[in-house]
Amino acid sequence: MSVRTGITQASTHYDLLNTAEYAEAVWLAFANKGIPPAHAQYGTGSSPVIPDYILPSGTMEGNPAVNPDLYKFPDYQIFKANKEGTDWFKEMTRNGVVREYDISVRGGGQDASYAFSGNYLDEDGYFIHTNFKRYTFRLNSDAKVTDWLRFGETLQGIFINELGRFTDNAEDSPISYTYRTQPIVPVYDISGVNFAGSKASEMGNSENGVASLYRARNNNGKWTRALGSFYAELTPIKGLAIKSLMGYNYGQWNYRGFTIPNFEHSEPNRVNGHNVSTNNSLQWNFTNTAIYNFSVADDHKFNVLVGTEAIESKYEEANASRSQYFSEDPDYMWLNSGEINRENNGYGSEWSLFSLFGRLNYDYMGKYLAEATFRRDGSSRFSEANRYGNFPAFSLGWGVSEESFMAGTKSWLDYLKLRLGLGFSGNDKIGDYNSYSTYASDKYQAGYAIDGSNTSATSGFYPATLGNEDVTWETTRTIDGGMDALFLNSRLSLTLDVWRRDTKDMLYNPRIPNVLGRAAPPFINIGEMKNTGFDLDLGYKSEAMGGKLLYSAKLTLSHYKNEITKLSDDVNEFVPTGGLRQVNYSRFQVGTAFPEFYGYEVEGIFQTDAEAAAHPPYEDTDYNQAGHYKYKNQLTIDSDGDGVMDQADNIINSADMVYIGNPHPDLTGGLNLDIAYGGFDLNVFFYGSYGNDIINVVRRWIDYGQFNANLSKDALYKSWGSPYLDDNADATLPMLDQNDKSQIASSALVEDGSFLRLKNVRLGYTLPTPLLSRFQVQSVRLYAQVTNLFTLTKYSGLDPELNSSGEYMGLDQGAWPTPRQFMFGLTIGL
Amino acid sequence: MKKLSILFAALLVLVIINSCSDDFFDKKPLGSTSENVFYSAKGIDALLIGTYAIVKGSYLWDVSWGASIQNWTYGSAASDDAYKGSEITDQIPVNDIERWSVTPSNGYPADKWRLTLGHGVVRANKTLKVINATEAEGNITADQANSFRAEARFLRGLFYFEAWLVFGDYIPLFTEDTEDPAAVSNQNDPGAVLAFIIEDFKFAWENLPETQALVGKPTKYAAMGIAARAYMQELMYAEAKPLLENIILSGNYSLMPYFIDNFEIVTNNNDESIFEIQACVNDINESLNAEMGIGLNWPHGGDIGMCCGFHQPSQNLVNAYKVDPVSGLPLFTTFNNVDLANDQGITSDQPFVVATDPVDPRLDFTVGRRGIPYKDWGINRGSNWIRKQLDGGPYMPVAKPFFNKSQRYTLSTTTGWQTGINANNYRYLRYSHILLWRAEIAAFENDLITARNYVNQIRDRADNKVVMGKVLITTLPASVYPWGPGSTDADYMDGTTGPYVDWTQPAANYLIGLYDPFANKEEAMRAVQWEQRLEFATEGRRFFDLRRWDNLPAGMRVDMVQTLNDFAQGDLRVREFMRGAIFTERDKYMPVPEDQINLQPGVLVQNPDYL
Repeated sequence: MSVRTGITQASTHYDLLNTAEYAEAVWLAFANKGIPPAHAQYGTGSSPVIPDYILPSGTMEGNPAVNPDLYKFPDYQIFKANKEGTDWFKEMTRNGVVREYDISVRGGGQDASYAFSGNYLDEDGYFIHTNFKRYTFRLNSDAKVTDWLRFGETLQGIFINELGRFTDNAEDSPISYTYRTQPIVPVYDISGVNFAGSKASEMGNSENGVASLYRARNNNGKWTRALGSFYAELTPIKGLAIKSLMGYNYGQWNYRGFTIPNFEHSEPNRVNGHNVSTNNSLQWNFTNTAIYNFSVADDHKFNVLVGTEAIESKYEEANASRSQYFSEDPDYMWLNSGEINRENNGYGSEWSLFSLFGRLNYDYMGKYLAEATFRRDGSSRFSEANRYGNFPAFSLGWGVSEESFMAGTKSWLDYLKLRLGLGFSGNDKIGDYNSYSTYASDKYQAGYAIDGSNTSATSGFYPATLGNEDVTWETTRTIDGGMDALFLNSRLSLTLDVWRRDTKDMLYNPRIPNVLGRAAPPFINIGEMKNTGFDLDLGYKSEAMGGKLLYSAKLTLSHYKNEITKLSDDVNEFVPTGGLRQVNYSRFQVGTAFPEFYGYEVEGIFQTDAEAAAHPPYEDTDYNQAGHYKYKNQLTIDSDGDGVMDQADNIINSADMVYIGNPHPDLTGGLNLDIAYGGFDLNVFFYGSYGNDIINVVRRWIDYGQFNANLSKDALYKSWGSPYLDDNADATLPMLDQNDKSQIASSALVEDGSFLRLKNVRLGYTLPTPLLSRFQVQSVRLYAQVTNLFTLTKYSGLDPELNSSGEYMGLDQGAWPTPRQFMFGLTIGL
Repeated sequence: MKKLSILFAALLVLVIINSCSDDFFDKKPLGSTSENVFYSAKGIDALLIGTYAIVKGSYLWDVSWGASIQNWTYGSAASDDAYKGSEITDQIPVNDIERWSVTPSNGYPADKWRLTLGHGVVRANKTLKVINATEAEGNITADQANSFRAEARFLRGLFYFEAWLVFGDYIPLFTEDTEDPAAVSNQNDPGAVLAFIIEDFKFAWENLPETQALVGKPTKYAAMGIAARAYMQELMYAEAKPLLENIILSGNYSLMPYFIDNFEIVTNNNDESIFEIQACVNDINESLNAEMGIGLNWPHGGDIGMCCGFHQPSQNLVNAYKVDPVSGLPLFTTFNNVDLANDQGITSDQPFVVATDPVDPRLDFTVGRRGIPYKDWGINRGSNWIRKQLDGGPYMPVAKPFFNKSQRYTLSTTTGWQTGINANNYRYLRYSHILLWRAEIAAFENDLITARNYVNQIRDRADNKVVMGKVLITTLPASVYPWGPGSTDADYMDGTTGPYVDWTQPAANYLIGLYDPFANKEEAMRAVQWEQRLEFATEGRRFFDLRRWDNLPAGMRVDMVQTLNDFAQGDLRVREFMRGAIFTERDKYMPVPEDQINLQPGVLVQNPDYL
């Protein structure tokens, strides 16, 4: 039985300008562009004037237009200027509260056993109006009916209920609103009840983050999951076990979302609405195995397994929405009460898999070990002719320390085993219907108001997918060499694995030219990829002070290198990835990892117009001028035809773009330290990543002024031409003028994403047993814990531990930072 | 007991063996179907609707605003008619279109390529394939097949025409019979693209009916009209003339009483319309069945606020509506010397007096400017209604596709973020086009009477209606709502807005005169060209018109390079945006999307002007 509770905080936030600084930055941008300043709020003077009100624009106290008697929501709102500046991050966040309760019980006798546990987690997030609750229970039991028959089951139920807005890593995430909204905008208008926002002139197009979180407070996601299995096991003769298991996994997701008008917004939605979505998935598996253990002449141990497995999965979803509700009470806003825009949609899919498999293990006195496995898998995702794949694997182990010639090392080497493995595995993740060419009906993608109606379209059909029947399993061959060793009375342990994985017939859906249509192209077996790496575990545990002080340390290090070795028949093919606001930040092709950052190389900032004029122009533009980036003119011409580029042209264009960074780390690792003394125990866990790059896309908003977002301190104080700089050569940013050519993908945006983070510190105290026995309590443990206490990094964003992956790997679009939690817990054993 | 356990084991083995049959792997796609289902008249109808869907001019999110059927970027923002608008940091690729510095990686032309060729032509070809197969199977008659084919080929012709306007001759030509469209080069013999387009339209006009019960479908005359426009691009007047004559002589079309009828939802599909892009709203979420290609081009600021303030008319265009105070005719050579007074840099609560210079009445149906009643939305407040004057100038996003406040939520979208989306059809081809093209041919042929006749018909109609309501107040702070202090929408409806608007007076000093007989063909051609600009302004045509008039013989020629560079120079009086921008011959066409060349190496080539 345990209880833990504590608070969570967002650990970091951007250092942004206040109202006066922001106005100054706007004026700096005017000066940089050589335009006389003119701003709807700050006037047209030689320096900006902070108004008393921003709606009506740039008005002062006493102006008849700000007379509160005129106030009429939503047609005539009045926004007071926040002269100090709204700290949006502060307004939108709070100390979150976490509460978690556990109960677990185990029991049983000789012929039966059971275990059950229950868990309840309730978390108020660090963003206001967000809450997450999870209920879990588990029940496992088995019973021996006769000597040769055993039954058992496992059952787990999870229910999740979340409320609020959880959008992450996107322009419309709560985090984005913390830096996209200008500081002069107050949270509320003069009514103190209705929100203020970007409706006031020149306030950009960010939502009021407080309003956005408030309006989403009833958005409700519910997730139910039930999974379990039951089995029968027969042991007809000694050493033989025949087991038949039926498992199932059912998930159900329900969501209700509310659209509430945001009149204070510059691009307002004025009509309320409601949408629901529901989906469920059921996957079952039927697994039958027979295992036979036997020995020959005692020293030769064999273990043989044969089996079959069938898996089937089915997914269904339905979505519906309506608009225009008489009341915005969430109890009223159900589908039936919406008046217009009745819309619904659905989808379903299925797949199945059937496998035959066998395994043979051989063990000679723990010295010589061998294993051979074989799988034959059939997938419904492939056409009949290509359905099955065969995947063998072999491994050998050598218990070196058991050899007699190793007797001399016993004093310091307790155990040494060398391993070597070669195996093949398959992948069929290509969507469920890759072999079919289909047409689909859709009210939008194939709809048109052919009869001239103003309010309804006729639905037709469009080519939806292109199929390919020739596709089969993707195969990955893994070669792994490893060792396990224990030294110094087993105090020091070492596990090392060096591996290489080669994927061939890689399932990849190459982009097809537009002229072949826009139906989704099929996956085909075309690419090849290579991954190499190692994993190292190094542990040390010992004791001191006569066993009173126990301590241990464990270091894990992992390295991998990913390389695409073939993409298609065209060796020069590349795929642009990571597209955000019309800029692609990455791509991949043969010889690169998936993906890598791609763009211009910045050679500095032009310090003089003369220096800029001497550099080749950027495309057909007048971008080159003092204060702008100097993009490197790469060697792009092969003048002597030897295949090596040896000459530069006279223009900076896409030919000058190169790979500028790699989001894949060179090394990741963790260090876990445990110390126990008497009733006290201390755990410290570090985690780190080294050598990965990040592009912080948020900087495009706050450093370069994409839209009228708030700006970073650097944009005002450290940009080229800033009056705060003694020498422009010290500028860390180009001049603040919102020039889009300064915001293209370039090395200036690439940052070192390496970090070392103290993920966890926990101090516990277990009460002495004699004290407890009086209360019939076996154990009581108290602990205090801090997660994410500090992070050492040079990265400028909120959190270097990004959750972006795949094509968007390494791109930070405004992710929620990992929270810092302060927790107290109590565990009681009865 | 041992026997029993062996029996159990045997039973299990039996179950295992039986567990996998072929049915187990039989997983067919749910909710979609395969091609042979469409081998019937009903099936072909469904595929045709799917092909019509593409004329809507966008396909979010596979294709966005760069593919607009209204060509607001290439046809309008790149010309002297309009600006990109909004602010410089939004939709950055359009900055380069407006400033004539497009690079082959620009995402906007890539959108146009993808929509016209990738969606449009491919769907038309697939439909044609199914028509052929259905006819071969005997499920439809040859006549039925030809009538279906006529629609599909009309659509294919339309998509190719749109691609040709933007990319010129560097587009690959492929049909339903092309084995591998990816192997088709985009290097074409001179005239081959036009011939290909005409062939489709010719088949269409030979097989389409004179009228259609479903108004969204093309008629014989729609095919002739777009074919005529294609010929006009190449100044092939002799070929265009009979087509235009045919349309005029059919008697099926007439000018609507008012210029504004071409831009109102209530007069969608009217007597003047020959082919319209149908728009409908509130049928699906976000109303995606209206034209999303212009989804960003709605007023952004203040109480009218929507998304996102793009496509604002230029000062040059506004100046073009100035007329001679005596004759009421355009100021052909001097119009842009001095700007018609604008409110650039003047806030809404600072006074601004509407210019009293005489102007063509079409100005205020085309451009939303400060101090003029803006449809029924209220008195145009100027600055407060503009996203960012400094970047996009003082005028509202172009007014023609916009709707009335009284139609909000019934004929405009109630969901989504592109909240200006509405049911206004884009008149892709209308009778006034036919008349002014016919007038252009007449001018070229020195048929001065015909040229004057048609131009004056258009001007005469333009005089039929003016924007009413002289605004008497000169400051328009947010408290003046919407027709003066204390007013409501109802005040507009019943025309009683007290001392703030005088509804007996026109909003500005409108004047339009008819032409006296032209002295020569040069004078006639100039009048026709001006009339096309004034009548069709901001409808995404100006750039392409300038391009073709650049090829006319001296005397009639409009020097495109000089016209646009003069425009950019003059525009500095209003904004800084065009400083340093230079239009050159190269900029007449968009580059072939770099991405597509990379996907079809050795097949597609870049327009040599971009190498």
